[in-house]
Amino acid sequence: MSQNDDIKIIGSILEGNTANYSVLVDRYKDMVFSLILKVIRNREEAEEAAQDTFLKAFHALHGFKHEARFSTWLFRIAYNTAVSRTRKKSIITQAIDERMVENYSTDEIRESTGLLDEQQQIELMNAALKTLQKDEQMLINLFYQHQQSVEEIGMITGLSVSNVKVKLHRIRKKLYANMAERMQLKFA
Amino acid sequence: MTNDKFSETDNDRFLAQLMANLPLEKAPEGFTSGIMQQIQSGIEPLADTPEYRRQMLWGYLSVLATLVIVVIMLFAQWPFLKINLFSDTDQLRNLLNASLGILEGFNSIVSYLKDSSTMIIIFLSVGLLLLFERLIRNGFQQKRTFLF
Repeated sequence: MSQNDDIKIIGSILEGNTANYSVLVDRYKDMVFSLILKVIRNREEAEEAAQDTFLKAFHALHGFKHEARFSTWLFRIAYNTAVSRTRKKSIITQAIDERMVENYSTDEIRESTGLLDEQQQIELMNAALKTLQKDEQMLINLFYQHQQSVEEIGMITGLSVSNVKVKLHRIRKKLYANMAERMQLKFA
Repeated sequence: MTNDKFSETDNDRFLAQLMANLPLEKAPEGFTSGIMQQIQSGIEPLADTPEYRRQMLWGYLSVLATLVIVVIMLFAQWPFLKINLFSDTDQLRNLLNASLGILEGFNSIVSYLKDSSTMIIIFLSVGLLLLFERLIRNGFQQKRTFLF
């Protein structure tokens, strides 16, 4: 999915071919839904927020100035929608034990996860991700799954580039620490 | 992964690989059609096109014209009705007193309105403004103006 292709579609929508918006919705619906679900953690509410996101994006489409990728612009709307919804209803997240953060060896984790099959690796990763705060989940998801750069994540979240880098670094450490803990329990 | 140096270490490549294996959550069935139905039953996006800019110009002109009318109504002398809102403090005081009298009953207000050309002018002005806005709105293709 190229940026040029997105721009052509947006141009045609603004010229009155409203039906073409379905191409953009189809293209990004899973990404947006998945991203919002990381924050809201409730499928029904996430679906509503994802719908809100696409409707807001549609009505604001004339304001898209092509300064960023369309996906970045859309994720920014999704991020703001998700955050404003969670402000209304606080969601409890399980915090990781801070003492664990420094107490692991990444080589050991890489070796031991290599012993797991793909499904087990997915389960391990999912379990580790669930221990992150919702904003941390959103950041790591944007970076690895949605291929947004540090600068683009800054645009989406309103954080500075250096702040995004620091946060990503810390999140990675948390993830490794949590995986280490789970691997220790598994092979103990 | 085309991200910055953070992803270039062995550890981050390993994490990126694990994350890449994670399946993306799928949006529910009928998600796209649901959104398109809402869009088709609602408002079209306002395009930043010459046509849109032309309509916006009409909008700004209507706001300007409305402001001019309001200023004229507030500051102009009305010799044919013998009213000047700002100099005729007695009338304003009476209007205020009548409004406060709403707590005691509507009679005093109704009787005041019967004799008050000030109130008639105010009601006429509001009516004219609404009519003017409606007429201007007919020039818009969009269902929603930036005013309302």
